[in-house]
Parts: sequence; structure tokens; C-alpha cells
Amino acid sequence: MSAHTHGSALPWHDEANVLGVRVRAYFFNPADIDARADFLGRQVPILRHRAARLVSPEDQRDTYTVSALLAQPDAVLAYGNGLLCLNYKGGDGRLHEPATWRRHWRCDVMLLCIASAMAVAGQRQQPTAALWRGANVLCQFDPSPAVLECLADEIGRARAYWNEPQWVSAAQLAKFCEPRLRAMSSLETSTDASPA
Amino acid sequence: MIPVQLASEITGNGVIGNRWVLIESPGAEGPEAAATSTATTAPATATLAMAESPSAGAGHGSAAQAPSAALASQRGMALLNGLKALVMALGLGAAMWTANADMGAPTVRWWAPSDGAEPAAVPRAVDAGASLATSVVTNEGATPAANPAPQAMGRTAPAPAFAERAR
Repeated sequence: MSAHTHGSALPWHDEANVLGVRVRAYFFNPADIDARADFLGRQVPILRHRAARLVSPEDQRDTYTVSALLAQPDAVLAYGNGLLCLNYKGGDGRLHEPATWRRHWRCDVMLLCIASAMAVAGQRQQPTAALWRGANVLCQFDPSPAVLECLADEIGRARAYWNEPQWVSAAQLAKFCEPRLRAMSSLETSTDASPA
Repeated sequence: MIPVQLASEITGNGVIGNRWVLIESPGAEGPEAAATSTATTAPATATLAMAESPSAGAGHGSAAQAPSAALASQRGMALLNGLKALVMALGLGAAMWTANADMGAPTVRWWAPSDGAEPAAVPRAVDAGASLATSVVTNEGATPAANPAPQAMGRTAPAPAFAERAR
């Protein structure tokens, strides 16, 4: 497992297209990473020693809304000219193998992170990147325009589907949109590894 | 419309490659109205998603899918209501059939006016008591009833020989 770094890009270990989303993965040893004292080094190990700071205290989950979409990401970090929307409490806590992580990938968690990032970006009006930290992997999601369009278009219908009077949560929107995205034949899912 | 920027890449200094998407304002339209009006006024309600380069605009797949999705949702609701009514009717029918099999046909016609031809349960009991009284009166002159059956006496009272022995 070799990390590739060119320019100022981060040393992601693997990349793949999953349901129209470009997923970049950074694997780490949880025994080492979880023992770190600083939040950034523990939750976003790829950004350790970089100038990212929490927008709100670590144990505080702020609520972000845009339109009828409501999200409570686990952490929001200010990083350079934008924000990082991080979720690390979702998922099933299983370890991902670098060779087989695509087969066990949970698209609902991925779409939840993207929807949360949309809410954060809409409220703060800043470019926001969606991140998910699993048991031994950190992932960054780069959704295609079709995925973004689907998530944004389906907010109203998801709220009606879940019978929510005012807000639809990011998790509800993700569950509502996942089968629609799977039905879109234009979205590609690659199985080949393409390291950065 | 609310503009939303999602970063496509994280560098060592910040985020780059912003993707834009426009989300409808909350008070613009209700969800039901949006679901139905997207079919007719797709350009007004469709969300515009694009990459940084304008040529990489999104297709309109979801806007085209909106009417079919709304129609499918309405059909699904109608089918669900129909299934609910069918299940309730089957349950009611099964309950009535079971009652008919266990207790027979209904004897009290609550829907029919009581014209005296079909006496109710309470008057029928009174009539039975009256007939019993008349039978007692008519039997007054007959011979009195015999003593209680010796078997019954023997079971409840001790035998005379046993009583004398006890004295």
C-alpha cells in the first residue's frame, strides 16, 4: 500500500467510483491513530499537522439546515478557503481491507455524508468537502453533478415520503435517494483501483 | 434558490474544484406541489448542478424521472389502501363465518321491528315460570311425592346401625 503525493494533493491510498461518487480512501492503523490526543490527528489523520480547526467544540454537534434539509454532522472543520464536514459515528464499525473495501461499501453512509455536507455548505455558504472516518479508513467523497442534482431535487419528495412536516434529515434523504441513484444507469461504479 | 458549493478535492492548503448545486428555497413550494409541478414546469423547479466548467453541466435525468416517480407514488398509495380494505374485509368475513359456525345463525333479528310474533328472551322466561306455577297448582290433589331416594339419603346421612354403635 503506497501513498502517492503529487503537488499539494493529499496522499490518498485508493480511489474508486461508487454510484457516481468519486471516493478517495486513506487507510490507517486504528491502534496508532485512535491513541492520538489531538482531534485532527485522531479523526482526520491525513490532515495531521495542518491548519484545520474545529468550528465548534468537539463534543458539540451543531445543526445545519438548507431548504428543508437538516443535518447534524459529527464535526465541521474550517480548512483553508472552505469547510470539512466530517462524520465518524455512522457505519457499522467494521474494518475495511484495502483490497476489498468496495465490495462491502455502504452507499447509504456515503450519501448521508454528502447530504450533510450540502446542508453545511448551504448554511455557511462556503465550499465544503464531505468526509467519513471509519474504523480504519478515512474517505473523501466527490459527488458527480448527477448525484448532487438528485439529492437536491428529492428533498421535497423525501420529506413527503417520510411524512416530516418541516425537515428531512440527511439520513432520511440518503435512504430515499439511494434506490433512485441505483436506478440511474448513467452512474458508473468502477471496480478497478486507481490510486491518486 | 440557495447556492451550495461542494468541494471535489482537498489539498494541503484548502479545498478546490467546487461543484455548484441550487437548492430550492424552503417557502417556495410544498413537497406535494413540487412533486406534481415538476412535470409541467421542470425548468423552474429543476435543480441546476454543474461543475466548475459550464460545459460539464448535469443531465436532466432526475427531472425527467420526477413525473413517473410521482405517478408511481400515487399508484402505490392507492394499491396500499386497496390492500388494507381487502385485509379488513377478509378479517370481518372470517369473524362472521366463525361465529356462524360456532353459535349458529343469529336468532335475534335486531334489524326487524318487534311485532310480538317473536317474543324477546325476558318474556319467554316469564312464560316458562307461569307454566311451571300452573303445573304445581294442577298437581295439588295428587299423591304427595315419595320420600327422597334412599341412595341419596345413604350418601348424606350415616346409616342407623352405625349411629347406634356410636352411642
